[in-house]
Formats: sequence, structure tokens, C-alpha cells
Amino acid sequence: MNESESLPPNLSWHQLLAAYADGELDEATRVLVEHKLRGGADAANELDTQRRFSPTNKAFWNAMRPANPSEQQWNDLHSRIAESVHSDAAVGPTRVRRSRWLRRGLLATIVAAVPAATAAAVTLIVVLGRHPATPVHGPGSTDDGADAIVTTLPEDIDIQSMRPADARHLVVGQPPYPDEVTLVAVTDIQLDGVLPSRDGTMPEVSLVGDGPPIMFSPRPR
Amino acid sequence: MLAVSVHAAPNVELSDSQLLARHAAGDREALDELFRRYRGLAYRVAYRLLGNEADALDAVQEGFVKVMTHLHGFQGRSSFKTWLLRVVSNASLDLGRQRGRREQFHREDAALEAELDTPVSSLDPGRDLERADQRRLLMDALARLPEAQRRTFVLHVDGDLSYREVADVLEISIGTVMSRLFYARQKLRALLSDRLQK
Repeated sequence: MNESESLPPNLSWHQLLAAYADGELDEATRVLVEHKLRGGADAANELDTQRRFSPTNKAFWNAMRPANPSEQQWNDLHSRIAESVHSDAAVGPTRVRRSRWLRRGLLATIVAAVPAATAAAVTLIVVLGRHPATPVHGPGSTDDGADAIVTTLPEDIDIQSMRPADARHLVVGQPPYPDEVTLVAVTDIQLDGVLPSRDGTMPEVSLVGDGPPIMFSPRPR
Repeated sequence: MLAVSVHAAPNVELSDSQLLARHAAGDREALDELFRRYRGLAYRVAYRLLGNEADALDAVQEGFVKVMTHLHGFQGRSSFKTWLLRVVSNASLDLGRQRGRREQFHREDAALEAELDTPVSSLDPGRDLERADQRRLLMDALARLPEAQRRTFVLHVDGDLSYREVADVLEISIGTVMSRLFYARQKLRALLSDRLQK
């Protein structure tokens, strides 16, 4: 039989063989393929391979099927999906993978928030005219209940959920302050003085003793 | 013409499109039914593309959430099943790229060890271990296929999709589906030789 005359012109022999093994051919084409298969052992071997890994080989694929998750795992998964889907503000799965940009963004947010919060604490001191106690080194001192920010590393963070309203607060990109940020609370620093700003934007703040550079920003009125 | 009024009986199984319409109307149980209906299929596709349970469950979750929260993009141009499997397989491949092949293999090894450590329940534990080993061999071989072949093959075999449906999911011709399946199987045969029992 002349293959070019007998088989559909737009399909190759290999394509037809795959479809034949899967039972996807119409009757006329199937007959043509069977006719050609009688022609040689090579074609029969190829068909054997196609059939072996075809879904029509149900015994093989049933044996190769992965074990299903437990009913508890299904229930947990369903709960997470339902929570996300039924929440109008949901933008993704509850368990969001920590992609690089997200980690950077979150870190950037933390880094950006720390100086602002510190400045707010300092501003509070200035406004109240209060002189804090001896500096305490180390992050997050909260002995007297003053506000402190808990610092963390990107590896410590696993975002559980996010709403669109929160997403706009994330800063995407490299953190603006690449070095380590030392966190302080109100009680951790002592002000030496505060001078009015020269350019109308930032007051000049000096601390008692030497210490790491601190960023300040005026508290909104 | 005879006018017929149809009232759904309480236990009649609703079609996917009926469930989607109910979901859009705020019926929360519609999602439960769609999840129950397609969770196994979606999981098998994701598992076969990723090679481990945890990532596969993540991909299934992402797929369901994306599909159910973007119903406006569905518009009934395909079946819910093919749409879901398209999203799940996309999510699986994205996750796989993030993990990297090497990590996948390590995780698969760990999964196999866990499977081997699990007490066997059948009457033929030797057979269970043998099958677990064969599953690992198959997963390794699948991981070596080109991504396009692997995805086509998995959607057809584990997603239970016809050639037409696979072509719709991947937006390729049926002829391309045929070619990919042919070469994927030939390569599987070459990689596995006779190490898998028929």
C-alpha cells in the first residue's frame, strides 16, 4: 500500500500510530492504519510502545497512580480554598508561597517602617518633654510597655493571606536601607536636642552619646 | 408545541455549568460539589507534574481559587474540567520551575522513602514496594521529558482528557497533540527500557 495515497495527508504515520493506540481514530482511518501495521515488525514495535503508555492500558496506570491524600488533607485543602474563594477580598490561595519579590517587598516594608516608627517614638519624646532612661541596647525593649517593633528575617515570614488593600502597602524592590536596622523603643534613646528644620522639612535631632544613625521624620499633626 | 416545566429533583446531580451559576449566585455549596467532583483529577495531574504531595496540593489549591475567583474569564468556552486542568497544570509548572528540578528529585526521593516507610495494608507487601519503586522510576522518566511533551502526556493520561480537550487546554492543534504523545511515549520507553512491568 502506498502510504502517501492511503493515509490522511495532513497527519504523519507517527501521529496516526499514537491516535490509533489511544482509540482516537475514526473507523476509516483505523482500517488504513491496521493495513499498514501488517507491513512490518518496526511498526508493530512502535505500536507496542504506544499502547504500553496509553491510558487504554488501565492496569498499568492504575498501578502507577499516586496515593490520594487523606480525607483530613482534602478537608484542610477544601477549607483553605473556600476561605479564599468566599472572601471578596481574596486575591490568591491562603498559603502563598514566599516568592522572592514578595520577600523583598515585605522586608522593604519592615525596613521602611522601622525608621518611621522610631521617628514617631522620638517625636513623642520631644512633644512630651520626656527624657528617657539610660539607653538599652538591643531590639524591642518593652520594659515599660513602650511601643516596639518586632524585627524578623525574610526566612521567618510565611504570608498566610493577603487582601488587595494590604498589597498596596508592600514595597517591591530592594530595601532602601541595605544595612542592618537596629530597632529601638522610646526608652532606648536619649535626646540631646531638637532644632527647627532649616529647609522646612526635617528637624535636626541630636542624641546623647554616639550611636548608629537614626532616621527621623516629623509626626503628622 | 408542548410547554414543559422542569423541576429539579432534590437528588439530581447538577451539571458543572449549573453549579457555576449557583456559585455565582452565592450558593456556597456549589464550590463544595465542584471540589469533590474534580479534586482527584486535579491532584493527579499536579502530582504527576510536580512529583510530590505537598506541592501538588498547593497547585490544586491555586487552581481552584483562581478558577472560582475568575469566573468572568470562563464564559463557557470550554468545560469546567478543561479550564480547571489548564490552570492547575500552569500552576504546577510554575511551582516546578520555582523549585528547580534538583529539588524536585530530592523531594520525590523523600516522598518515596515515606511511602516505603508506610505500613503496607495489602496482602502482598513485596508487590507494594515494587510498585512504589516503579512509580518512582516513572516519575523520574516523566521529569526528563521536554515540558511540552510532559504536560501533553499528563493531561491526556492523568487528566483523562481527549485529544480535542488537550488541544483546547494547550491551544495547539490535534496533530501536535498526537506528535507530542508519540514522542513522549517513545522517550519513556527508551528511558525505562524494560524496568517497568507491563
